[in-house]
Amino acid sequence: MTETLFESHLLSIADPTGDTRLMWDPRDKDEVKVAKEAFDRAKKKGMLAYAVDKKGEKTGEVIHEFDPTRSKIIMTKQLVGG
Amino acid sequence: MATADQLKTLRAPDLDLWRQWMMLGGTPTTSTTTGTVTVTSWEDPAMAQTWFQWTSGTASTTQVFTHEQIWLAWHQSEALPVTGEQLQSQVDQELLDRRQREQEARSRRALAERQQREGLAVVAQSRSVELFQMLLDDEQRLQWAAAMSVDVRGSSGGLYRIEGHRETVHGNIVKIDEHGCQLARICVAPAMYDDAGALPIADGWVGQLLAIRHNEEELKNHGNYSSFRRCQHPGVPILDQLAA
Repeated sequence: MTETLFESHLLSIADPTGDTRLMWDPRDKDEVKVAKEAFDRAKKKGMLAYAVDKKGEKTGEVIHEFDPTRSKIIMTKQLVGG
Repeated sequence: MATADQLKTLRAPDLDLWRQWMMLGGTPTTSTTTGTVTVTSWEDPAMAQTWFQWTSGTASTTQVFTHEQIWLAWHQSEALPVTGEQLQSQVDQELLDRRQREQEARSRRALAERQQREGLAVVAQSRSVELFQMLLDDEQRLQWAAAMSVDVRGSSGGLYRIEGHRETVHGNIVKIDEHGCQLARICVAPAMYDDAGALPIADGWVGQLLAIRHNEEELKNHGNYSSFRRCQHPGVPILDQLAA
């Protein structure tokens, strides 16, 4: 089966290229480690992390620690008023 | 070629003629006595003859040249005398030409760099729009396709509309009521710059969408509100609420 972004565990970190995307298999320790390191680096820069579980689903939450079981984590810059 | 500084000392008509001789290709041998440069010979015998004839009035041959003959000879050889102003203008033009070439080279480089940046920006915007649309449900996706706006329910119950048609993240969130009436406009978005440059606009929409859905209080705390309105249909019942 062709793997799509929503069928994989995905970390998306917003940046000037659009975003940097990392996928991991929760059973693969190396992939999890790489994703966690990227997550931690982004958090260190002050980015917000949202865990969104399924395609288009409106449930989700702000997370502060990397959770490899979440199907999709999207990291954005901190909110600022304009 | 004489330089601009040299030209300042070459105003006398004879010196213009001297320069013409130089341009004709003759290389004179000179001697200096008490500050006066005297031409003693020329590589080209014909030029030497003419020069000495003209400057001393004595001829080394039996032929005598008049100033008029020399003048006509110059005209015939197309080595027309050039005034100091004309030569200065030529020097100036060469300077302008060089500056123009340098400017064109800079412009070419800048354009190439900009085209590269904009090419990357197009890709970045495309990726971020893809991510934004991935986060929409089917109904929202249809709304976005039709109007480039999407209504989003906040995690604390508020209702908002993210507008994309102006291609901005500034003042593009509208607080709406259940009728869809605008109540206020809110300016709040993720920071759009990092060390590597500006983020594509749709990354801002992604941040706005997620903040409304999962972080509404934070969004309200950071937002600047403007353009307050009242509901335009206060007497119209909300069908969803009646059904509930």
